[in-house]
Amino acid sequence: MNKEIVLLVAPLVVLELILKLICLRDWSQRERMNGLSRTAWLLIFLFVNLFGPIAYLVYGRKYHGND
Amino acid sequence: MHSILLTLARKELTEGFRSYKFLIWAIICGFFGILSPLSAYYMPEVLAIIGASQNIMFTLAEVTYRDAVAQYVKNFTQIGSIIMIFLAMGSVAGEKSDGSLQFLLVRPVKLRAILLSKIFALVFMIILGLSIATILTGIYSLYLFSGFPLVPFIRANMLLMLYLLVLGVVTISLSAMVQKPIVAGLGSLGLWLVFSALGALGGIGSYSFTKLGSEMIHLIEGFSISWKPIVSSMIIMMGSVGCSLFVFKRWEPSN
Repeated sequence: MNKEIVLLVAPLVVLELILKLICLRDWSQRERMNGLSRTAWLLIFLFVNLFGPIAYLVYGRKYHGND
Repeated sequence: MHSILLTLARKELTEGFRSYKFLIWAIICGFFGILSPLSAYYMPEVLAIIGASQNIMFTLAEVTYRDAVAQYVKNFTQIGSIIMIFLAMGSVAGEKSDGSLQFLLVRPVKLRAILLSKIFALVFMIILGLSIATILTGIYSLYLFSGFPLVPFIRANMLLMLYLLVLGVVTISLSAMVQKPIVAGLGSLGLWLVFSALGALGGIGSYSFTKLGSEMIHLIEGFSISWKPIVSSMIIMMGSVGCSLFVFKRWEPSN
């Protein structure tokens, strides 16, 4: 039963990891972020599930003059 | 006109991929596609664990595919709608504020073509996301529940596509009318809330495009659906595109 749950939930974890890795790659290439500091955005997308990476990709990375 | 439209559509698709917009939407749809049947299936166990720790006993009816579908519709028509507005609100207003639209307008490009290309990219994004969600929900529901009606579910997703398309088109249209993406986003959010409240009422509320969610469930259950929200969706989309073209044509790039 436990093994079944793990297998069923695994794709969700993989999707979350993909999002976090994309954010991390983008974050490492940028010096300035929108709204908050670099460290704050790093903490947000690492520790807030699903909505953290989305907030970073939609809003945080769009610093005017760096895009 | 056709070659310009194609070039603009290609530009929008490239931008959608580069700005991670398509990826974000695809992953969110993937999440909803997996989470909806899973959360419906394991809800009794989750409630039992919570109940055991609080000394409360929850009695639930047997979980069926209907719960998974209801969860799927709820996820898309609530959280999905808000994310759709966020993704579409900067389509034109964002380009106005960063100056890229002014750069585009020095070329012989019609405003109509710009709007159409953005709507084309929106349609592509919705189809991409809903295909992923439909496939994942289909696989999970067929595995977890008996008697899941796959074909009606696929057909019902056309209604969900229309629902998201109306929201996206209205947001893009508002984005063409205003200067800042946040204004377009808030305007669209406000309209969505008004239509949702209207949909909860009887009479004229049956024309609200937000009724498409409940029509989707009717379709899966095998009942006939009402054409009222479908017709009103078409009218809302045409009306909003018409209004935005009217305002957009009077926009002064120097402002």
